[in-house]
Amino acid sequence: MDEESRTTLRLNELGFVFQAYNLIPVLNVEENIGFVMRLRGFSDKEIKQRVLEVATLLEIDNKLKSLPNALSGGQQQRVAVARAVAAKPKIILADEPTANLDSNNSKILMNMMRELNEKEGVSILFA
Amino acid sequence: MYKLILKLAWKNSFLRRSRTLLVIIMIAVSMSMMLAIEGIYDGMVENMVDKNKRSDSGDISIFAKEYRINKDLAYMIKNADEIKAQIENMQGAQAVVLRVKAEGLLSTARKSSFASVVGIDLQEEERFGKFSEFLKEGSIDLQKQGAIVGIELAKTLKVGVGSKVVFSTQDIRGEINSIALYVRAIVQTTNISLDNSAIFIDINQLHKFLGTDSKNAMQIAIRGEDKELYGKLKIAFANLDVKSFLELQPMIKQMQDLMIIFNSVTLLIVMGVVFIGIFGVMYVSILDRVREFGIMISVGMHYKYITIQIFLESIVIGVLGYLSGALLGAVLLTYLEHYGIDLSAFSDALATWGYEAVIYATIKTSYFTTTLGAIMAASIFSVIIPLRKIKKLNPIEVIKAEK
Repeated sequence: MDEESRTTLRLNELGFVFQAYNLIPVLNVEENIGFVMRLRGFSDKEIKQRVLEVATLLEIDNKLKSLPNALSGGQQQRVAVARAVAAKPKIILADEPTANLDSNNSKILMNMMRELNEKEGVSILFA
Repeated sequence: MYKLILKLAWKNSFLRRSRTLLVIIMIAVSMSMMLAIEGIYDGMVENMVDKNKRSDSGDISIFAKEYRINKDLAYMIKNADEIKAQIENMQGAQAVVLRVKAEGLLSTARKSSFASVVGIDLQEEERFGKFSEFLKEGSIDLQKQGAIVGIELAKTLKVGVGSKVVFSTQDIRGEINSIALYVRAIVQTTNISLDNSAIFIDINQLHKFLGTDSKNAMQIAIRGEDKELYGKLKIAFANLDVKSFLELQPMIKQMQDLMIIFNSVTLLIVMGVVFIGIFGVMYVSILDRVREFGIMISVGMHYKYITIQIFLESIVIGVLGYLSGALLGAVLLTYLEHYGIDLSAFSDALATWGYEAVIYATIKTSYFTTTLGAIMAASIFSVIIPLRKIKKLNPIEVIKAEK
């Protein structure tokens, strides 16, 4: 499989949550969450609706206009999770998503991911 | 999608604001200087061309076939006044003058020098090339054996306004004749040959002195930049020697070519500066954001969109630099067009080359369009190497390494 095909596969089938959040620093929370959806060609209306839906679920809907550097570690990781979930991938690969979080935030995030799994029906593979 | 890319490009262009601003200032300053230099170079040549056309050859000149090889009184244009009237009725001809010329010796009581006497009609010369604007000393008047002398010739003979001079030459019958003249004015045309050797007198007086027919002339000079006029004259007066300005002044053609080379070299240097400036900023900016690109690629952004984003970032810097440079350059050129650069300290050297001491710039749209093209090209080429670096990225490796 060549690089282009791998990129297309990642875009359409997979979602990623990284240990170090890896948000795009110049985009606000709303744009970060909708980033993958934009790459996949969703309409503005669809993106706005879905971003709000996922952000509400992850309790970051009041931070939509903030830049990543204005958020706490826990909030940034929730944005990363929202970005991975928003475009409804078949599977999410989560690479130690709680490694940079304190125990309290880790617990909250894991609960939220479990809830996503139940409500959105998305499979999450933790490493 | 493209809205997002444009947004990313715009925001990233100003991520390191002071660095970007510095490059924009660098482009603006170097570009405006280049525009000013271009304007001055062209202004120098155009001024020289304008003075030469006004004082001597016009846009087109007509001579008898043999005259330019052998400047003998025998080679005059017959019935030049009728030809002049015909040309004046041709489309594109703005002004036409007749001139009679003879070479000889101009003397004072102590000195003498080679000189070329030019018989002119002052009123017509005024219409043709605003002759009075060449005045340096005295008043433009050719009545009662009045003469106007070129500035360098006046210096050579040490004559001033009011001096008496004697011009000697061979008339149409082959006799050596002399005419006493009074210097009424000294002119500076910045046409080297005229300034060095010309003495202007009334055309009718010269005809009388030389014994030539007043219907004849050595030169018919024509003002008119209509490109078709030259062709029409060539056909209409095939038995005469019809020459365009640049055919008569090959040195000025060379000068124009030389200025094009100067301007091209200046453009290349400035473009080099722009290239290095944008390259530096983009390269460092990309190195700073390797991880960001890794993230984008890992979540599914195709390389082509990253390429577009990088090109846009570079073009944003280039365009902002260009706009600032164009604005600064336009202000500078406008100032130089109105007030010029005063190089009076070098006036003697400049006059030797046919330039005036105050040099005025010209403004051409082509300065701005060429520069825009060159800056765009520099902006695009400057990101090719940084892009190759991103192409080689392994997103997962980058994200892992930068944790």
